[in-house]
Amino acid sequence: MGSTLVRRLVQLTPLVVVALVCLGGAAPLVADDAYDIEAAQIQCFQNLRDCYGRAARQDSWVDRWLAGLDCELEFTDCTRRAIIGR
Amino acid sequence: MLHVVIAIFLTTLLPADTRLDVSPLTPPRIVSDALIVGRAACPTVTWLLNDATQLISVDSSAAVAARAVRGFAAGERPWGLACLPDGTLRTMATPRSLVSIDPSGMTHERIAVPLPRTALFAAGDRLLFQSSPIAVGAAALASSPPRQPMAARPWPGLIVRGASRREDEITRNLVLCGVPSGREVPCWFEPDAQISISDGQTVRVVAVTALYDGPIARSAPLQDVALAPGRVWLLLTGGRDGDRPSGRRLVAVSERGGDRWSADLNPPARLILSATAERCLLLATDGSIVSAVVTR
Repeated sequence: MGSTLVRRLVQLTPLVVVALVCLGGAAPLVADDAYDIEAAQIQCFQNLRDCYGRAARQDSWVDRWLAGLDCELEFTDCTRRAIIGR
Repeated sequence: MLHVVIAIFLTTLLPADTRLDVSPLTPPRIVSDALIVGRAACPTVTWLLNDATQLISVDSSAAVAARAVRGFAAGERPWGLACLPDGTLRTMATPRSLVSIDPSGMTHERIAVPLPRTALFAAGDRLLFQSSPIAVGAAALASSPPRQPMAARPWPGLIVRGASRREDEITRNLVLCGVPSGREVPCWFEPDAQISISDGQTVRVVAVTALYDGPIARSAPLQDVALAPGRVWLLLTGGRDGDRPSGRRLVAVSERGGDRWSADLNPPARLILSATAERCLLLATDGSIVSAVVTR
């Protein structure tokens, strides 16, 4: 019974949070305005598209998939250096 | 595992801020301007790893020492830094390779991980990390013992959100974690103003949207976060300094009672180095170490 109660509380959590935000008159939790896309980030997106293009030319489905994952890793590294690195 | 979510909203209904007493502890350019790719807060010293592969220590008296990290292979671009209770440090030499670093800067043990990791932090005696590829609806972070990467378990709190394009999905779900207190680690999605604080068992959520006034950026407003007993320190982003975001305002909030202290920072700060309930050390954009103290 205890665990059922906890599970229900957890399921209700998003509703509670949304309700509290509305009642509190706070701004949305995620700002509406898109992130500032700096030149470095634009380059990251371009690199990703180029990388996906190269991945698509792999012979087998598995190789294309693995190459696509590597593209995402490169993109993540590029993006985090542009916007997370301090 | 018990997941309890408590939403704490820092609203403008709180009493007016009391000023933090901010003062420089060192001259400028004590710390290199190179991009910081990892920060690990140990109990007595904070370590920084930069992309010039320097390991920098800053202690509570603002004494700074830098040494070159030796042992990375050509082409390796380390990311992340975690301090474990035994004082050893871990970083990711590559997304698939964890490396330990000793305080002299020498790399030692290398451990291959089954799934590539894209972010690395510490949570008590476990490593806290984000894996790739991300999956919408799954926990954004997981933890594992340092030498047992297969023994990973989800870290409660942040859940991966979807987006219309894969690249936006990756960008929206980049995770940052701040300075922990005990077993509690504050983490957030880079674009968001909501912090998930967890010890691996319970979660509480702190939303800081109401602090957006003045020079604070509406998107990605959290430059850094630090926890101390009963206190949350927030470094709020106020635009960019050169090509990097910089923290223009520091806010300290008492989790009980709602007391709040703040100061606008000039020069702005790159990150928080360490924090207690009464005092916070910051790295400023001019390379100096700055202290902020709660006044009574």
